[in-house]
Amino acid sequence: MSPAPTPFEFLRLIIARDFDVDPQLLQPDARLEDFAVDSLGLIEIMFAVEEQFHITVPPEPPDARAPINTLNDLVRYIEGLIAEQHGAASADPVP
Amino acid sequence: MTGMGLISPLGNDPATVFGRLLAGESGIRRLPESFNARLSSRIVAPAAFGGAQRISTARLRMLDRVSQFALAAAAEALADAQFALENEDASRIGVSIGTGMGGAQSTDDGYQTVYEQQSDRVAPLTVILAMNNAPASWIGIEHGLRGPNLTYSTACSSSAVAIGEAARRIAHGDVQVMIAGGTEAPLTFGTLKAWEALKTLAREDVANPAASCKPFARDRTGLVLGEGAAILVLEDAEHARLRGAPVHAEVAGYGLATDTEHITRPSVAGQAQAMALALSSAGLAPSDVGYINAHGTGTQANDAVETAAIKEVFGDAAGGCPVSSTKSMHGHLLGAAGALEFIIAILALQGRIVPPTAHLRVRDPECDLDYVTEGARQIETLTAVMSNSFAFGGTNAVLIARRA
Repeated sequence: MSPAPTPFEFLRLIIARDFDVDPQLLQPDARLEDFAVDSLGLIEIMFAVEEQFHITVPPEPPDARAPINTLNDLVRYIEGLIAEQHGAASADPVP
Repeated sequence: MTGMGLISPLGNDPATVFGRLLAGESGIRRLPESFNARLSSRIVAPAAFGGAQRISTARLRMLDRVSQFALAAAAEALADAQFALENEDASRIGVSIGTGMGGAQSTDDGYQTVYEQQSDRVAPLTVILAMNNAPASWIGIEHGLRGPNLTYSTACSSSAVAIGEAARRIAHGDVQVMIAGGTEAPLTFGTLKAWEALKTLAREDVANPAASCKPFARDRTGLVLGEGAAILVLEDAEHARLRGAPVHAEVAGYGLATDTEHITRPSVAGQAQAMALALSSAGLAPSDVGYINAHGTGTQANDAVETAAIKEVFGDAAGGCPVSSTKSMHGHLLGAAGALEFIIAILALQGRIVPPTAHLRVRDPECDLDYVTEGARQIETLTAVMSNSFAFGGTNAVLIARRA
């Protein structure tokens, strides 16, 4: 069984699939707006992230704490939520 | 009218659809058990349509099937009109779309999540997918059309209203061009169940499911739900002339009148008034109309009332006017029905040949007009055609097209 994807791997997967982007272009410093990931797109992505990592995204916009421009910004935001809600910056899904 | 595009149970381009209608071919069929075994009425008219072939993946996930149909048909219509949008003032081009049920599948999916799965994880774009004005909005976004963007929802006359109101808007000088028509995608489990409960759907013709919709026949049992979109490019005549556009027909008349007796039962008075208004707005006498594409749903109530209404308006000319219900072949597209049938009427006008009413073997004694039962009929003298669209809720809309 392959290990569960990290937040970065998971984001690459769903952005490539849902936004029709070549995964090679999805490097950590890639800018989300270049792939038409707008505020609505971010809501959809976070919906999938919630399911994958068993976290709850707070009601305030993701960029309320820090700006989210790049893929890495988003990874850090998700890792922060995982750490807050599961006690460690683990990428493993909680059973 | 300079462009037309279709997604329909009989094909996705006007020439194919019209050819099949002339041949009396039906797009009505039985849904497999696998669709959902709890359906007691499984006769429908589905469109063969794959959104993924026409729309980008990134866009597709934001579109209910109803918007996918609309975008595809609008693109066809604009191509048919040989429209070069970059040469146009986009603020003077609008969109006018009719739909009865909007994003029915997305609504269904949302309810299924909440009620059946007892989950709070409703898909985040449900509102945007399901909203009734999404099809019109996406057409505006796709083509950058900044004029009025309107959605009409008057049940089965929605798209006839959308076309009529668009034509008025052009005539009034507000806009030069309107992308007008209708779209509907009601073949979802929840929607079919709701229609089933209303007891208006046709019983299956066991010997030939494709013949289940029998307008004007003594043995008619109801309507068959269909899906698709029909979009027209309506254009100010001078604007069309200046750009050398191919003109299919002139939208010559539009009549709108409302039944107030009952929420579903049609009335002769309302239907007759809409036809009379359409004739007067076109400046035509009944005898000038060479073909009527009837509303002709195949329900007990509609067909007899529509026949009586035609006789009231057309008087002595009623018996000599060919009337057909092509719903016998493409089913009832609800909010897209008026636009599809207006396009069919215009194709008849262009080809000087009218499609038959299929599956009409023994007529209802109350239905005593010329329903073109023998097959397609060539009519060399055809100069004007009428398309009737009547609706639950009582909004009766009638369109007339004249040879351009």
